[in-house]
Amino acid sequence: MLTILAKLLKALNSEQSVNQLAFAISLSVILGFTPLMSLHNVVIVLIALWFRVNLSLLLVSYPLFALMGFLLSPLFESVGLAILQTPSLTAVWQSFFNTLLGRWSDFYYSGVMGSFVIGIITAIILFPIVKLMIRGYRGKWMTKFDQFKITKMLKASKFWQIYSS
Amino acid sequence: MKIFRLWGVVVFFVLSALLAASWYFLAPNIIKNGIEEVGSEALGAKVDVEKVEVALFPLTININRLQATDPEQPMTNLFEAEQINFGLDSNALLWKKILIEELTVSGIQLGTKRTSSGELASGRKTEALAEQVTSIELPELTEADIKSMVAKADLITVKRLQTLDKSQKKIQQEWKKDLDKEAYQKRISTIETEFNRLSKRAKENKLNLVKDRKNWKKLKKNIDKERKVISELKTKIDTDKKELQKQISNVRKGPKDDLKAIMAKTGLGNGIAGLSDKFLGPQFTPWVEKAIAMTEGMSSNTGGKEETPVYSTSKGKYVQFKDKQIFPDVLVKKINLSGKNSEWKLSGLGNNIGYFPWLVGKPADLNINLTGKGNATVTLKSNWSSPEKMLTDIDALVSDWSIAHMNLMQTDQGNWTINSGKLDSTLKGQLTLEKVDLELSLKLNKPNITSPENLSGWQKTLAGLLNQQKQLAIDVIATGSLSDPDIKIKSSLEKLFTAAIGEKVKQQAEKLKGKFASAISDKVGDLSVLDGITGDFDQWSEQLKGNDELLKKLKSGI
Repeated sequence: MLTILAKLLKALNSEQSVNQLAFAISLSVILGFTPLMSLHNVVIVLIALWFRVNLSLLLVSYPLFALMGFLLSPLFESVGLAILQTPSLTAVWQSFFNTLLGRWSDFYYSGVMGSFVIGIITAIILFPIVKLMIRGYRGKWMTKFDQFKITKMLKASKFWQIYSS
Repeated sequence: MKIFRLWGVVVFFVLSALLAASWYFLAPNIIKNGIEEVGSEALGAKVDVEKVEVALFPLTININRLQATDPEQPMTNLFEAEQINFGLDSNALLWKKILIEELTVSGIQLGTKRTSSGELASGRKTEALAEQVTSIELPELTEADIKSMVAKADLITVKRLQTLDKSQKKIQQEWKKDLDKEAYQKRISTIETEFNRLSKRAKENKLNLVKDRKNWKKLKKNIDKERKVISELKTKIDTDKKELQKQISNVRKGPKDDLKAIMAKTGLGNGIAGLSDKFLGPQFTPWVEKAIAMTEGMSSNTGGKEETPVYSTSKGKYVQFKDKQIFPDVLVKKINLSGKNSEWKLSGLGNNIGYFPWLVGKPADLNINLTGKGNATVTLKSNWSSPEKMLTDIDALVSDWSIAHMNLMQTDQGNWTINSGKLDSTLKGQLTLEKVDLELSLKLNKPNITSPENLSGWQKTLAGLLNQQKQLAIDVIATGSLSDPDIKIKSSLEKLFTAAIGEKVKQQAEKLKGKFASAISDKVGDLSVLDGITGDFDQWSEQLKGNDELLKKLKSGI
């Protein structure tokens, strides 16, 4: 855990592109909100591994979003059910259900559909917000953060050794 | 800067391959544990599987030696199958469906001995419930208990009296308004005065009849109007009287209903549970209750034929869109059952058994033959034409089956065992989602029954009576709906039971009945006052009659 935290700080403080970090958060939202054992999450994992997404940030933020997903599950279910039962979309869902991809997607479960749609929307909204936040951190807070007493204490600890290794 | 990392893709595929490989190696254990866990929970005793083998090409599953423990005898298996083999259709699996062309269950044995106990360590809830049921004793209630029970009881008679009181007050108020004596007398008197005036004028001069013709017409109109009001009030009297009489009748029945409810609380009341305890044995009572509860939740919550069905699952609501893969999620096209030992031989054949059954398109059927100490056949045919329409025919016959060492019932003193006897039984009927129509007939000829030692009282009498019978017969007729079946049981056992226990229970029930009735009567008060309640109606009716007659007379004078 310490290693992951150290890597996370390292990533935030490094020259790594903000897009890579924001993308990690966005993917983590979808992973956390939706049931882990779903077909779309295989694709999310593939994207996370294939593209240069910051894996440490993804792993650290995943439990947080999974907890949020658990708490929001009633909302996901009602949103999902509304989407699946929209009369104008019935034909689309029916055709999709009758494809192999549709059958394995589990999108005909209100929980999966609702969490996926809300996850995608949240991911899109969070992407620029996270980018702004990281830029803000690097521009204003990183130098101030280094001057904090607690940071100086940390730098003398074992944690910092892992961080700087 | 590169946006891809190739090693990531390699890691992904390596991970996927590892997952697939581990699934293949773990699948037999996952299936084995699944069968054992689900089976044990359902049965209430251990279900063991020796080994599960999974072959990939073609995809087949072999389950070796499945043992299901008899919950009542943990060292004996209720059922044992040497081998269960089936192949899964890969194309159907791609559509998340399980299609089994042929399922073979061979080496079926019943009642085999186990090497270790099949009792579930933590026990089962149903057993605890059965123990509670068997420990029920006839209540010994004191005078104080009875008074306290009645005092605490939410008596229906009191509620009905309150409703009656409200209705009576409401009716009285309405009638006071409708029969406002002063206003009414004033109107009648005006009519009478006008009649007298016009009559006097007509007597004085006949020509006045012509002159006053408009006034006479007006008077006649007024009389008709008043009589119409009277006629309407008469109808209202009848309606109100009937309503009040109905309520009074309900109040009168109240103490009887209260007595029944309180007696039921003492354990002397009846019900399906009571019938099941007495005739099937307390160990079956929780299952009977479960079966009834289960049937209540069988249908999906479709709003209408056009709507997409929705089912609750752990992943939220499952919206079932119209499936173009026209076969159910699980379909076994053919089932072969076989088994034998030195004493009996079993064979069975089933077709088109699937889940959801209405997606199968063909009726499911199952035929089982058992020969040994007699003959037994079971034929089931179930046709689901839609989720809302099911018709199942059941026809089972057991003839001349020798019974030996079979548990009849269990009491605190021990087991009542049938040592020998010949069983003839039939079960015939139809089941639909709306209706139950089943008839079960059980006849045990020449029974020889061993009862527990140290019996006394009515139980000793019962033991003696049981062995004197040439035949013990139980007929069960189930009608009504699945959620609310009407079960009628006719049994020679009941007569024996009644004969043995009869007097004691009767005396005790009568004694309690009397005490409860008197306590209820104390609480609800004297109901004889109800006799006078409808008296007002007669008075009102008389009043209306008198007025109507007067108006009739005046009209005829015109």
